[in-house]
Amino acid sequence: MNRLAPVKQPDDRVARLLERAAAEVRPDPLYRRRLRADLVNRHVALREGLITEPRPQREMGRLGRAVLYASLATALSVSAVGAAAQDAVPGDLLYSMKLQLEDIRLRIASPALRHDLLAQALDERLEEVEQLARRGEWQRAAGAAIAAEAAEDRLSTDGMAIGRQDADEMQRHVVVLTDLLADAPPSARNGLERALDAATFGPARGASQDPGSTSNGSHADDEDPQ
Amino acid sequence: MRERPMSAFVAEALREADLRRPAAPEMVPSTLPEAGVDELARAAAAGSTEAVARLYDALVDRIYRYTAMRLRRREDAEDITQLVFERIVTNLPRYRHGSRPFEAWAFRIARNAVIDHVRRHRSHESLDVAREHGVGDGLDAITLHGEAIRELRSAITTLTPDQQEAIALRYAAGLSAEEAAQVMGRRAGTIRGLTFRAVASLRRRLADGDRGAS
Repeated sequence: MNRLAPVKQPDDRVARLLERAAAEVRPDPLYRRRLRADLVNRHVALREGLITEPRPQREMGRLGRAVLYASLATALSVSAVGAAAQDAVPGDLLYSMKLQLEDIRLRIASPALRHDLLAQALDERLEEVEQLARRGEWQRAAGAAIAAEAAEDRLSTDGMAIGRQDADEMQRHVVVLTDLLADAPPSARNGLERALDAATFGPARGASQDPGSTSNGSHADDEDPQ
Repeated sequence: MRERPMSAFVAEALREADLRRPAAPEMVPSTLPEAGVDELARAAAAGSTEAVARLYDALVDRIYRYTAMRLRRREDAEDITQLVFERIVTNLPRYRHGSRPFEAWAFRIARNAVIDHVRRHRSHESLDVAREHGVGDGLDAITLHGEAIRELRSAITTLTPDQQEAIALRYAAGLSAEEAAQVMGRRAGTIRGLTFRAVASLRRRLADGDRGAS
């Protein structure tokens, strides 16, 4: 079902324009991915009882937005191919492009953003390990785990503590990788354990505090007054 | 060999946590590949992380489009989309299956968040006044710079608030008239009427614009 065509008026210019205008509005891929990871992490934290109160609304800080727009500029320069490369995993045709885009982002980013981008790279490598492991592609997952170790080394040698959000992200990876490890065949365990080691970077180092929280006027009680 | 500073400890702690967790979430993933939004919501409420991720994938573009059409600024759309999903995840255990489709529930949260945002940032102006002041000059940044779409955007600001809401829910969010009715707390026939009159009004305005240009 095409969710963008709820009103069937094929000859109607206005309906066509409305559909076209709606279809062109899309979230930035990096924003989309980071929000997804943030929500999954939040869900795990709520489920495990690590947080109980609704988190105060936090509008995106300057740093986060600057990273987004730097990456958006890069993504736009390579258009659809670059967007498709964002989802590539080791062994895919577009994977090398994905790595090149990350390198470009690192080069054009200001020094203040460098550490954040390195943390994102580690997050991405761990995501790739998990994707491949879920598919049962253990050999490729082992290769991805080595890349995750390298990403951890780069982040580690950069010397700063990672932010609270990235530390939470690492914690989420620890949860996911531990689950995968439980089901992995013996030959794949070493690779997943290496990835798990890379994911413990955040908890092991401790996270810096996130000062960006503000108050929240949540409507939690008003959302479903049925 | 590299030291493993915390992984063994953390893994053990998490395994213990898994053993304490109810079994229901683990039963869900095998059915997820074909699951609809309501089934995903049920699995997510039961604790399935995979279902939460898939629910997000299923809804994020439409919720973003809806907030962008209502708020017309990229930064606002991003902030409110984030807030909406945080509220969805937080309130999932309170969602009552069967009483209302999940999408209608989720978009009701989105609608409330948009209304809150407008109130918070323009506390001395009503939605109508905010509209007259051209709240959404940033929408061009997130759509093509087509002249027709610019005219359309301008024409949308002349609609009544209810008509704008109906247009956003049906075209940007892709909801049916019945779903939009549940979000707005109206009847489906009312939504169809609002949409019909909105499109007719836009058609007239765009035609007037074309005559003026020629």
